[in-house]
Amino acid sequence: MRKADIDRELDEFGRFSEPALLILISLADGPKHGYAMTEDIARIADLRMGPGTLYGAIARLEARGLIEPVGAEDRRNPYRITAFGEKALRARLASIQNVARVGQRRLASA
Amino acid sequence: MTWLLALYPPRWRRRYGDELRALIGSQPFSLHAVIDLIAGAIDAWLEPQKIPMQQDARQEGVTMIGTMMKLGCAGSRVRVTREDAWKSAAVQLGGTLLFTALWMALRFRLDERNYVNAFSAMAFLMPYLFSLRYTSLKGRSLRTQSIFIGGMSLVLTLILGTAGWIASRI
Repeated sequence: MRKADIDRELDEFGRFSEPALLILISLADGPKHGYAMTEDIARIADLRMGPGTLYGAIARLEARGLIEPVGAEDRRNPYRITAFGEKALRARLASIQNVARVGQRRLASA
Repeated sequence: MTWLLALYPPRWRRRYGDELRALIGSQPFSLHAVIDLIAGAIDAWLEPQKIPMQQDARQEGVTMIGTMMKLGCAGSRVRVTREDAWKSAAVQLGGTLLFTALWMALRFRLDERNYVNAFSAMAFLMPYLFSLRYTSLKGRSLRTQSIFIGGMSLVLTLILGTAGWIASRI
């Protein structure tokens, strides 16, 4: 991917919504089902995601190939992040980190 | 709360119904979850996703930029800020005062007291529904918010209208 594409891509990550981002972060350390994701997100982000919001985001992430079901052992059906999803998450986190670094630097020099 | 799954599109239910039912079953009942599920169902009808039917389905020719541009998730901005809380409180308080004044004016002017009395509950319920825009419905599309608030207002009107009709015949 060309540098210009990556830059443009990072610009567009601003549209990456919070529930989808939190789900990808939650799945980054291993597969989880809906309940485990809800608990994990509540712990890491202090945010209790509603079931409708969680599955609205899961449906979108799965439809776009960012996550995939592991294979249901029971009806809870765990999900894992795909290579494509991992790449998207890395790029998004790098973008956030960059913005945070600039913000911190400006605050320090103010 | 599992009965709320009936509000979702059949295709969506077939794919995620069991999982969502398991998740709902593991959580205590809450009004926020009920509102979230209803809003999620409206989203699922308005913006149907391409539901993968095979677990190993791979998408081809999709660039990451295109993917991210389309990723407008349901309830995307779910974090309720202090400003949102103030807005919600202002809508509830201001709306309740406004609707109460309207209700009192109607009560003095109209003879059909049974209907007017029945609709007194609307003085609180209508502002409450509108205040959800800043809390439970925050981040949803305007269409979803409109359908939820409009639909619930219609249901309340029908219920209270029926209550007024019954009261007028007793």
